[in-house]
Amino acid sequence: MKIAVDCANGAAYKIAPEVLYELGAEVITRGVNPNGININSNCGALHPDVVSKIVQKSGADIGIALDGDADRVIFIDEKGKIVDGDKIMAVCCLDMLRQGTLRNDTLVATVMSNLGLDKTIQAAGGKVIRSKVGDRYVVEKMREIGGNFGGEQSGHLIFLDHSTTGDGVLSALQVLSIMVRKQKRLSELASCMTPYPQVLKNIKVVKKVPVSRISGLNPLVRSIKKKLGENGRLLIRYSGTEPLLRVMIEGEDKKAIKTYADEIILHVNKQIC
Amino acid sequence: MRKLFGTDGVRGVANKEPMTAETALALGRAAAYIFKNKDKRHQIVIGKDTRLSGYMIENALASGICWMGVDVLLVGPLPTPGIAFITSSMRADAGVVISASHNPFQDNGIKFFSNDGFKLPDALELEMEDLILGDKISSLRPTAKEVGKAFRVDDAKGRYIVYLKNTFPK
Repeated sequence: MKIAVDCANGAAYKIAPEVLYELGAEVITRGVNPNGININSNCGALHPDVVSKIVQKSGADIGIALDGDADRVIFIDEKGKIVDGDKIMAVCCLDMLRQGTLRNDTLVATVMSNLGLDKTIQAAGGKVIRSKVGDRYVVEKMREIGGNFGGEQSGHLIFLDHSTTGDGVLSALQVLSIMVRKQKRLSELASCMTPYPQVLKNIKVVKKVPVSRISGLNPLVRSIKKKLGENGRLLIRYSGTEPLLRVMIEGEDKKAIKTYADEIILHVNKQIC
Repeated sequence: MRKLFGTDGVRGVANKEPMTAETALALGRAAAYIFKNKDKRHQIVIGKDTRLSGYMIENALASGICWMGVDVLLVGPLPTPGIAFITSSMRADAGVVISASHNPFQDNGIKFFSNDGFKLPDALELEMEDLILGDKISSLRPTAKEVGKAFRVDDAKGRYIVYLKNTFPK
């Protein structure tokens, strides 16, 4: 198998290529010359387009983009398309369900994961539980419910049978082993999940008034949630690092969710901005 | 209320508070104090990514840990999960990762793993903050044989590579 790996000029610059090579892969490397100031700079998991181009040029079977400390990974399929953490969770989770190795038949994801992930897992007889954003909270939830697999859309994947924390290289090996065993390409495997259309809007705020205290917002949220029903999600939360209120809506109807988002933004702007 | 620790350890621009050598020294002392809980020689693993400021933070942390009479195992540049693995595999008392993950090179961060390889629970991080901001441990200065020693673990990469390969079915 031909593998393109981008180590972000970070901590895995020696380890990732060596592991893949020793397991028999043909390895094309990128971001393996750290000099102290080039970590994450135009390479790695934040710039998956870089490894995507390498995959397309070289005809590699898969692209692997790690972040600076290699606890997170974004994949590229053989066509050069990005495969995010949600899709990888779907691939691994379905495989574990079929093998009977997913403990309590439950996957732990975060509130940021796409609803399409829930639907895929549920259709296969599994369950999805959501934790707060952050890999440590995913791990906490997994230990609490006795689960052995969880992760984030951003590419933190935790295989608790093998590791205690998110591991980019280990996750890549899990995905590769499924590809080898099933003799399937990554694009084929990743097609098991169809993400729901999503709108993500940010509203600049001067003061972070608790969401529940924004006048008139609760009834509006309730009515939108009712319209979305089982096939949609609405999430309103403040950014932890910036003066922004984030509004995320998922649903089957692309036009409808955009209208709902606009309604919320209009309302919030009137009330607090 | 968390003053130093965010959702994934302490983060910031290197050489600006809170990501200074002084804070790293204090964190090293506080960590050594907390994990020194049995009647034996204690060890804390320190690993890092490839940032320039890693040298500055690494030495300050190691100094703080040795100050309190705990030994240091330096593994050099290694992925965060590799440091977690080495910590539990070496039967060390804790692990420290010097990294700001996906942030640009001028940033850095410090996060801790406990002896079982899991990230520290919020309560222990808060305890560490209290120790740093208070004066409970400021007068502790072990002398003579009671100061710690630092060891370089030269084959950490190899150990982690073997572990990773073992997770791949033959």
